Amino acid sequence: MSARPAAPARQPRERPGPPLVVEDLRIRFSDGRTTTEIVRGVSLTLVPGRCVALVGESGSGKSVTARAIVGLLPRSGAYAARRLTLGDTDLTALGERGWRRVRGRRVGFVHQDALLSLDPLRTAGQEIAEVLRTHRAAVAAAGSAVGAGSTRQRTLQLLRDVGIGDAERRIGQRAHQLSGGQRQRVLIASAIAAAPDLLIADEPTTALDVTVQAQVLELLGARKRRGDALLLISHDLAVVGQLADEILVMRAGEVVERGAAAEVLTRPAHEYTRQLLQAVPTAATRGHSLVTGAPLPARPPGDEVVLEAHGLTKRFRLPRARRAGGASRELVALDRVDLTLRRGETLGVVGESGSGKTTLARVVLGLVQPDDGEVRLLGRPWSALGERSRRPSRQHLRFVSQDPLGSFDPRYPVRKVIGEGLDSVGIHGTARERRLRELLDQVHLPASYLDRHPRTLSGGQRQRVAIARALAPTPAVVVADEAVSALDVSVQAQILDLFAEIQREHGTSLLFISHDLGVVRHLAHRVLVLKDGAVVETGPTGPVLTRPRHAYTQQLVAAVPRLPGSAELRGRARPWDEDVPESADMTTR
Amino acid sequence: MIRGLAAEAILGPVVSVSRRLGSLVLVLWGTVTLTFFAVHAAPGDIVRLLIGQGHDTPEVRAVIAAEWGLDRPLLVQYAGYLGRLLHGDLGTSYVLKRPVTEVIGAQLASTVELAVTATALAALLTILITTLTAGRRLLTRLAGAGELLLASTPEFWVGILLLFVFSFTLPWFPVAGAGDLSALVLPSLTLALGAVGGLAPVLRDGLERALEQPFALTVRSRGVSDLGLRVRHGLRHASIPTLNLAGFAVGNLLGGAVIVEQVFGRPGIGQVALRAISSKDIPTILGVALLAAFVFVVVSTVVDLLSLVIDPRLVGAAS
Repeated sequence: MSARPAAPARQPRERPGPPLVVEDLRIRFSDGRTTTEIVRGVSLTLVPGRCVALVGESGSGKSVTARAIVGLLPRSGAYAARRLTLGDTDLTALGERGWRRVRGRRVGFVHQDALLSLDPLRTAGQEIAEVLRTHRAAVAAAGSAVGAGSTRQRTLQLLRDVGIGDAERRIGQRAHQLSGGQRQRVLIASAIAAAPDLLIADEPTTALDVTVQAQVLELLGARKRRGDALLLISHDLAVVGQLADEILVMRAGEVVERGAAAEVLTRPAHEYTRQLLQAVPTAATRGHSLVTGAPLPARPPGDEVVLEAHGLTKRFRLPRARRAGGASRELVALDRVDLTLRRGETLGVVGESGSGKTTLARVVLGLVQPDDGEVRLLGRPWSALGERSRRPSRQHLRFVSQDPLGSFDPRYPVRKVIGEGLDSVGIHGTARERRLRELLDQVHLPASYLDRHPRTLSGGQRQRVAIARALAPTPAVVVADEAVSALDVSVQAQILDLFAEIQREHGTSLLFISHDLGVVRHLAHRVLVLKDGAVVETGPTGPVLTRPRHAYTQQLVAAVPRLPGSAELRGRARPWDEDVPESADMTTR
Repeated sequence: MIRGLAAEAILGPVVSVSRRLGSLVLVLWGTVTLTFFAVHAAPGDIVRLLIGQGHDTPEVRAVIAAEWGLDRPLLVQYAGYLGRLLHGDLGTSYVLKRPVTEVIGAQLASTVELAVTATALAALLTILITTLTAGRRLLTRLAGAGELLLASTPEFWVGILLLFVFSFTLPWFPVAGAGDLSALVLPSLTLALGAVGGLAPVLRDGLERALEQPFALTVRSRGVSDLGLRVRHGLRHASIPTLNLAGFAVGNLLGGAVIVEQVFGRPGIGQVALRAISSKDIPTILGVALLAAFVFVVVSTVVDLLSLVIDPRLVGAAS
C-alpha cells in the first residue's frame, strides 16, 4: 500500500479522499466444471462527497461487484478488471496483507441485515473496537481524525456520531438487545470507525421500518455531505433516489443504463429501467398492473362481511430478561382491535415492527387465543370455538407468510405442498390432479412444476406455490403477512398483480399485512393503522394515507421515500402532493 | 437501568446453580440407591470375603456379620448407609479394612492430575486442529480421516502404540509409573487423543457454519485476518455444541482412566474401582460410583455456566 496523507475525518474534509476507479470489471464463478461470468464489464468512478448507486434485482451482480472492490468474493469467484484503483493504490495488485490495510481503513462496508451482519455474541462496543484495534497504527497516524482517547472513549463517540442516544448503555449490548435501527447504526459505526474515505452500503435499509429507514438514509446522507464517497447498493429505487448522484442499473451482470440520478429516475432510457420504475407500487398504480402498466378491470367489493373482529385484546407475559428496569411484566400486543372485511375486499394492515400486526394475523387465524374480544368468520363464531370444531371451517381462511420456503415441508415436492390444502376438502383421485394443475395455472406456473422441489424454485415462484396452496380449498379469506416483503421490486410486482387477479376472479377477501405503505396503497381498499397494538386510524386507503389525521400515520407517510417526478413517467399525478381521484372513487364504493 | 441488567445477568446463573444443586442431590441419591441394590443382588458371599484367610465357621460368620451390620435386613442396611453418608462417612472397605474416603482419597490426586491434563490437552489439540483445517477442503479431509481413526481405536491400543513408539523405540518417556511430569505425558495423551477424535469434527462443523454466517463477511471487510476471524469470532460460536459434548467426554474420563491406568501402571481411581468390583468390595464400589456421579453433575453444571458466558442470549432463554 502506498503511503497516504492522513485524512481528517471528524469534520468536513480539508483534503478530498482518493477516487475509486473501476474499469471493465468482470467476475466469474466456477464450480469446478463450468465457469459462469456473472458480472460483465462494470465501470464506475466514485469521487468524495458523491454517491453512486448500483440498482438491480437479486442475481444482477450488484452485491458481488461491491465485494470485489474489497477483495472478498466467495471462494469460487474470481475477478479481472482493466483498472481497479483507489487513489494511488492498484487494488488488483494487492496481496492478502495489502487488502487488510484497505478493508475497514480505507473502505468501510455496511453489509445487509444488521441482525445477521453483527456478531450476535459480541457487544456493540466490541464490534466497533475491533475495527479500531485492527487499524490501530493507521488510526493513530491519522491523529485527531478519529478522535483521541482510549478505545472505549472513541467507541462511545462513534456511537454518538451515528445517533445512538444512551451510548453508555448500548456499548455493552448485543445485536438481539438492540432495535433494528440501532443495530444498523452500530453496523455503520463499525464501518466508519477507522475513518475510511469510501463507504459501501449493501441494502442498508432492507427490513427496516419506513421511519427508521428514513433515519438511516439521513445518516448515510450526512456521511456523504461530510465528504465520504458512498457506493449504495439497493433494489429499491425510491431509497436510491434519496441519496444517489449517479445510478447504474444492472441486469444479469451488465450495466444496462447509467446516468445522473434524476435523469434515470424521471426519464429512463432503457426498457428495463422503465419496468423497474413501473413496478414500484404506489397509490398512482392502483387498479393498474405493475408489470405491464395497463389498467385492470375493477370489481368493487361486495357487502357481505366475511370476517369481523371486535375488541380483540392480547397480552403477553414478558420473559424476565426482556424486562428492562421497572417496565411492566406484560406486553399489550393487541388493544381492543375491531375490523371488518367484506367479500372481495382488501384490508391493509400497516404499522411498524412491534405494532401488533403479526399477532393480529395469528389471532385472526385462530393460532393464538385472544384474551378478550371475538373473531367471527362468515358470520359464525370463530375464535370462540375450540380447535376441533374450528377445523372444518379452516378451508375458508388461509394464510400466506413472508417466508414461503420456511412454511413448506422441506421433503415435499410442489404437488404435496399444494395437495395438503386439498386434503381438508377431500378432493382425491383425478379430480385432485385436475385441481392441482388448475391451481398452478392460476398462479401462472407450468404444470411441470408439480414435481419440482420448492428449494429449487426462485423466491417469486415459491411465493406463487404458497399462494396456490392457500387457494387450494377456495377460501373466502386469505391472510397475507408481509407476503411480498422479501421479494425484489419486479417480482413483488408480479405477486401483487397475482393477488389482484385472484381477488378479481374469485372474489377472495384479503387481510394484507405489510410495513410497506406503497404496497398497501396500491392494493388495499381500506387500511388499518396499528400502533402499540391499538388501531390509531382506519378508513378508505386513499384518504387515510393521503391526508392522515393521526400524528403517527402522518409520521409513517412522511417517512416513505419518494421517487422524484415519476409523474412524467406515468403521465399521472403523484398522490403524495395532491389528493388524487383515486380516493374519490374509493368513497363511492 | 444498568444495575438492573447486571442483576439480571447474575440472577440467571444463580437460579440455574441452585436448581443444579437440587438435581445434584437427586442424582447422588439415585446413584447410591441403584448401585446399592445392584451390587447386593449380584452373586458373591460378602461375609466370606470379610473373613478372608480366617476360619469359616458359623460362629465366626455370626460375629463378623454382626460386627459389619450384615445381619440386619437389606433395607435397614440401606437406611444406615444413607444416614452415614449424610455425615460424609462412606463406610469401610471390606478388603482393605480402611475407610473408603481414605482409600479413594489416596488415589484421587493421581487420577485428577491425569484427567485435568488430558482435558487440557484434548481442548488444545481440538482447537488447534480445527482452527487450522476448518473450511479447507484437503486439510479437512486429512484431519477427518485421522479423527475417525482416533475415535474408533480403543484407548488401550492407542496407549500401547504410544508406549511402543515413545518409550521403547524412542526412550523419551518412562514406560510406567507416576510421579514426575514426563510420566504423565503418554497416559494423558492417550486419553486426550480419544476425545479429540470425537470433539474435533463437531467443533470444525460449528466453525465452518460460523464462517458461513453473514457476520463473518463483515468481520473480514473490517480488515481482520482470516485467522483473527476464526479465533475471535468463529470459535466462540462453534464452542457451544462442542462444549456439551466435551462435558460428556470429561464425565466419561473415569472409564477411560481405568484402562489407561492399567496400561501405564499408574495408581488411581481406575485401579481402585477395578479391584473393588472384582472383589465385591461394596463400600468402595459405592464410593467410586458416587464420585463418578458427582463429577458428572459438577462438569455438566460447569458446562451450562460456561455456555451462558459464551452465549449470553441463553440467559434470557433459560428462565
